[in-house]
Amino acid sequence: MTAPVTAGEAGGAPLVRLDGLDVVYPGRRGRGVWALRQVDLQIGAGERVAVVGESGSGKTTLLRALLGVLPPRARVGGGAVLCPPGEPGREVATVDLVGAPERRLRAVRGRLVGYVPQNPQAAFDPLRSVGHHLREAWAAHGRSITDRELAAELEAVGIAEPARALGQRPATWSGGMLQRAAIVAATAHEPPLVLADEPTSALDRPLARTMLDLLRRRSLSLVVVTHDLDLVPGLVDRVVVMYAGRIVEDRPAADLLRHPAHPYTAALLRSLPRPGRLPDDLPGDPPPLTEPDEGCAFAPRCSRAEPGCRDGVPVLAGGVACLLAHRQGADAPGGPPDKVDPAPEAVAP
Amino acid sequence: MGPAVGGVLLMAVVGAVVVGPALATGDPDAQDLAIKLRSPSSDHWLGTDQYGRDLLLRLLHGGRLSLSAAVVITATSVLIGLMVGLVATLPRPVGPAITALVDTLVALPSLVMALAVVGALGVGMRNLVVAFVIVGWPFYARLIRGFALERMNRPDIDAGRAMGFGRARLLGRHVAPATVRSVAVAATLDLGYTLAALAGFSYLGLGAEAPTAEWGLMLRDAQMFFTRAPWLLLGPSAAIALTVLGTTMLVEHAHGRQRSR
Amino acid sequence: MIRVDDLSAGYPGRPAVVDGFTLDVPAGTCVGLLGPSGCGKSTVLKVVTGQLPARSGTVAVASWSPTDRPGSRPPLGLLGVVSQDPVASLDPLWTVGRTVAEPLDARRRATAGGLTREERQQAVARQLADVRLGHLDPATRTTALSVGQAQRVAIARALIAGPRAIVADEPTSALDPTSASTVVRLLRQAADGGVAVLVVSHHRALLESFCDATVDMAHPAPAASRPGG
Repeated sequence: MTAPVTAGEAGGAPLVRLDGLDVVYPGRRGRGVWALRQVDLQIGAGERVAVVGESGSGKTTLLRALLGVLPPRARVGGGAVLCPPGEPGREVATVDLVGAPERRLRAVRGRLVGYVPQNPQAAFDPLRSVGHHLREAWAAHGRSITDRELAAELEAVGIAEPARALGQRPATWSGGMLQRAAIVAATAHEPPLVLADEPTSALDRPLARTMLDLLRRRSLSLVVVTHDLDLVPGLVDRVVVMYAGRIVEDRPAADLLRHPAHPYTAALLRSLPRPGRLPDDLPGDPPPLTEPDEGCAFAPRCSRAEPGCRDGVPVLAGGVACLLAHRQGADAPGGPPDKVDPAPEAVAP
Repeated sequence: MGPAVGGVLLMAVVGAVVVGPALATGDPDAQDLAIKLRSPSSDHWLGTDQYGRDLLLRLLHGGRLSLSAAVVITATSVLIGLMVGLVATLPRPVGPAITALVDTLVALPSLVMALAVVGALGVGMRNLVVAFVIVGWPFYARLIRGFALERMNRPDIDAGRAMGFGRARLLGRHVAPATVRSVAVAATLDLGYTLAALAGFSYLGLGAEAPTAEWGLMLRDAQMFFTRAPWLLLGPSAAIALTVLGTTMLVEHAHGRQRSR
Repeated sequence: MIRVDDLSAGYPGRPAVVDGFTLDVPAGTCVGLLGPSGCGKSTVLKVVTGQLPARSGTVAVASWSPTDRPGSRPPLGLLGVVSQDPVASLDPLWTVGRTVAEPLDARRRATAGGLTREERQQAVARQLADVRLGHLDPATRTTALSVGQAQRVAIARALIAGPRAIVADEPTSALDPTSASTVVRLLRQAADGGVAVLVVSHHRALLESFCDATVDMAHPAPAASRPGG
């Protein structure tokens, strides 16, 4: 199924590859929930990707797939592999994120993947000190660390009086501090891949910037799930937009933000708040995930939908899954006419 | 998760006990000394006891008594515990006072206290039920108070208060329904244990009185005649064990399903 | 409307988080309270809703004053509340219809009169339509809602009794941009209908996109901004 790859080929083996990945959670009365449909995604070494989409779009399941923690009762089709970087010219075994036994996955996760959870408070044991948790995180990666080194790490991310703070319980740490500690713990062993699930949703803007900066500095390849498109420029090279379990757009960040190809991406960008202007809203709701889709899932809410959009599900081609965009792409190389106000923070990375 | 084996077991026991006496007609108390202490046969599936009474009939009728007593005890304890537990969440002075009382009662050893109550009231199934309820409700009150406090922490209660809803509405319509669900697990387990405890008290002579058909009493007979008629033990011990096993497995299954959700 | 005058408040055993704070939210306007976490903006909300007693100063919401009698709860139907966690602000065992109707039901209980069953159903349907959930079956369980839908149900519940004021604590932080924009429009719509809306957020651009005035807790002189058009 997954052949070993030769590491180090220039631009060659991607770090992560999802091929036609389908994930269905069994539901009640035989109806399943299609969390992911036919997802194709590749992430190369050193790439930084933002995954954007509303709740239910599949972004959480995507992260789970990358972490290899899909629940056992999920029915999975297609493939998901992790290709660890190795020495150039040597063969490395790929890791089947779906099928590999839990023991192997656990070893892989510890060494190759770092995970920053959405809710930092929930990730820490409330009854033990923060230092205890961090030491355990290091141990999980097969390393040990002295308290002095730990304090130095925390100081480097701006935590005041780190030695004292380490002995305290998580309840006394602020959300921002905990999030920084979580990032440190997740990236300590310099994993090739770092996954972050909405790391800034509970944080204030300035703090969010700091956090994302920290993430960027401490990661090689990064996948960040986020709502916050304003914070994306300067953080990632690529943006992946998800809707109803599918990837609808997957393009370089700068391009996507200025010239979104998919109507949903355009709607998303128009709904970002700007001073002095009520944001545009997008009427309707995403379709329930309990039915297989016929035609484009976004068509009912799309201002530019045509009858043809309901006929077949658009495939992801050229970075976008939209019949109109494909047609336009074929006709005119200039891209779709949609234009949105660039985010004020987007100008300077 | 496989089928709820526990649930099936329980249903089997309950079904047998509810329907059995109607199907297997006969008087469980009818004596016939001519056929005393017979081993199981096609006439008497579980054999006969020292008075020639059919053991299967006694088991089924006794089950009705034991199970209904256990259900009444558990339901009443939960009800009283619910009321007291919710009141214990009120602000000072009422809440803390009730809580202190409940905590004290919970600390008392329940079996000893039940013995004391039975000593005061006298033996008999009815008094046993009263004793178990008196001894049993504080546990539920405390449990429910805990669940209620946890439920009250949820933002929807704050939102309700800010919109002007009164405490009665919030407790009665939001907190209580949530706590009852949480208590269902404890109550199911308790049912099994209460049944076993009832049998134990009867075995000791503190509950049902001869010649009533009751599982605990049947166990006592079984002990007395063990060398001569060991089959006397089969029915009541299996019945009690299956019921307790059934409730325990049912709870495990429900737990497992909740976890995998 | 909402009036906060020289308010000082804090949590038991700790120094005051809010000190000498003054704020005015006239009827028919949206006012945003901006600030990082820990600056006291949520504390102000808690005093306004009567959840937290004030240490000094006065607060008034229309004719009710939480500072007059500490611990008193607001009169039914005066205030509407929108919380940061939409799903947790709804009872998971209830249906959408019952949730939205609750302020009406509570008022009917209290005043021993009011709506017929039909009127109640119509009121719920109208309110759901107003928040763009007109196609949602009121018998739906609240646990079946997406986060965006849950927040709209919360807004419907907040509006149904015709409140004088609405307080919203970070109403969009859990939402994706499109759901957030709907919530923002609904809040603006409420204000345009005469309600005094007080919104707390750490997101400046958000507040400035729909509020008539934004108060920065870090710099208490109010910074005004007007919605375009």
